[in-house]
Amino acid sequence: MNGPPVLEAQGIARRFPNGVEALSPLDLAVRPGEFVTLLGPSGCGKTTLLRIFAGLDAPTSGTLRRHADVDELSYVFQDATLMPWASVATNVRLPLDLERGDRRQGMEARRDKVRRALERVGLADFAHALPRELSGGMRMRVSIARALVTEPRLLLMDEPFGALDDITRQHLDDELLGLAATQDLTVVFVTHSIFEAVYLSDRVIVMSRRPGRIVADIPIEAPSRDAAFRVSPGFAMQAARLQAALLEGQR
Amino acid sequence: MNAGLRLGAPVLVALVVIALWHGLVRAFDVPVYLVPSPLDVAHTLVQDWDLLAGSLWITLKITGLALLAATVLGVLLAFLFVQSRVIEASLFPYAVLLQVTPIVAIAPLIIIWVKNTLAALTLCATIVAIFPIISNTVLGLRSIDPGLLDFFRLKRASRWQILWRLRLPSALPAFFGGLRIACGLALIGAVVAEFVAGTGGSQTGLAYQILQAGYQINIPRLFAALLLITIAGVILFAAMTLLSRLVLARWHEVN
Repeated sequence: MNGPPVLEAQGIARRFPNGVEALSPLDLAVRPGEFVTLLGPSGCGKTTLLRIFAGLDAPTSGTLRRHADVDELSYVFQDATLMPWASVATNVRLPLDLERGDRRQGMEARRDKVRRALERVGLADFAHALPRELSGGMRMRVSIARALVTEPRLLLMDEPFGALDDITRQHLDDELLGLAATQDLTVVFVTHSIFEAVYLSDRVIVMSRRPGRIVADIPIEAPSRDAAFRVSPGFAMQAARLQAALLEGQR
Repeated sequence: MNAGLRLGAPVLVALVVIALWHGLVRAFDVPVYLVPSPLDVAHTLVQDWDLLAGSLWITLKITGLALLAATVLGVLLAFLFVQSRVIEASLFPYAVLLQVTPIVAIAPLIIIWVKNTLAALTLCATIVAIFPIISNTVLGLRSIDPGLLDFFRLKRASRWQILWRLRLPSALPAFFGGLRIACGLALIGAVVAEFVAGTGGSQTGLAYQILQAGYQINIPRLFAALLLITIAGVILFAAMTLLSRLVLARWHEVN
């Protein structure tokens, strides 16, 4: 976790055209290799902040410095957002197919990357399936494979597992930790689940209700990220700290 | 419902209706110039086949050309509409105007203005058929997953890539819905325009045969022409349904 921050937000605020203030000015720096979680109640502006990080939305005031090119960045949405008419492999290949000019790789190279991305998320056998033939969890893994296929340095994830059942979610949490460790990824993860935040993160940013501001910036101590950690007293204590910070933000 | 029943039940209904029709005509001794029996109609169909087939070909040609023109023009207009809200707001009311004006009311004008009869009739049928293509294609091009659009924008996709890789595939189901409605309307438009034109000579469609048969009180031929129009309509609709199923097989489970 050395080097300059991957993301550096200074006094970022966002007011929507309809007058709603989504974010009050906030400062945040994300260091390389960090797994940072934005935790807050629904509608607190965490998705807005993530969209600003991605360049999908612009702040009304403040500055954002991102030391990662847009090509080194991947975004995973709340839904899988797959093309329903295209196979799993074609969906995963999309970001490579959209590259233009010198960056565009040959079809064989693209297919090869797709194969590896699908292997990484355990879907190598489903390359030719259509999204509607897959379960919700599998569709989300396709979405993650699509994000990983460009070998990003920065991965932005907006409540990616929010619509899934607990068992699938825990399974995908573990997969994500494995991927983040082997890929040397910087991850900014949005969730409203306290337990997911403790389990996954190096650092949790607790946000207040709208207009969102940072209530607490809490580092997470984890001896290991596994089932034992989930039931340890340390896990419960840190979850309680996040809970208290969340309540504070509600006032 | 199994396939046999789906096909068998309507055929059974047709057989019962034809048998009833035949029985009633025979039982009450209805004169052939009022209601011909199904046998009379079948006989006329065979006897006048050369004449009727020629007319059927003309009507089908007008229908096909109109459907083609409506599809090409309708899709192009739909592309134009989704490029800018201003263009849509300026032009869409006129598309509606075209749709609500009865074709019988403007067909005489078009037939006067356009010298070539085939072109005039095709234009009339195109006007009737174009609206569902425009409105459904616009709807389809607009109904894209906002998340996917964000993804394309994030990857800095060009306008062209968004149109080709996202809007077009997303629009296909709605487009085919419009095409199925348009094929029936093109046939109706062709027949109505022929009625209004009422042209004689060798280039005459089925509507003209119906008019002539009516004047001559040749009711079996009138029925035969009517039957051909109906069958043509059903076959057209079935063909469009089949086409859309083939193309859209990836979107939905084929039911």
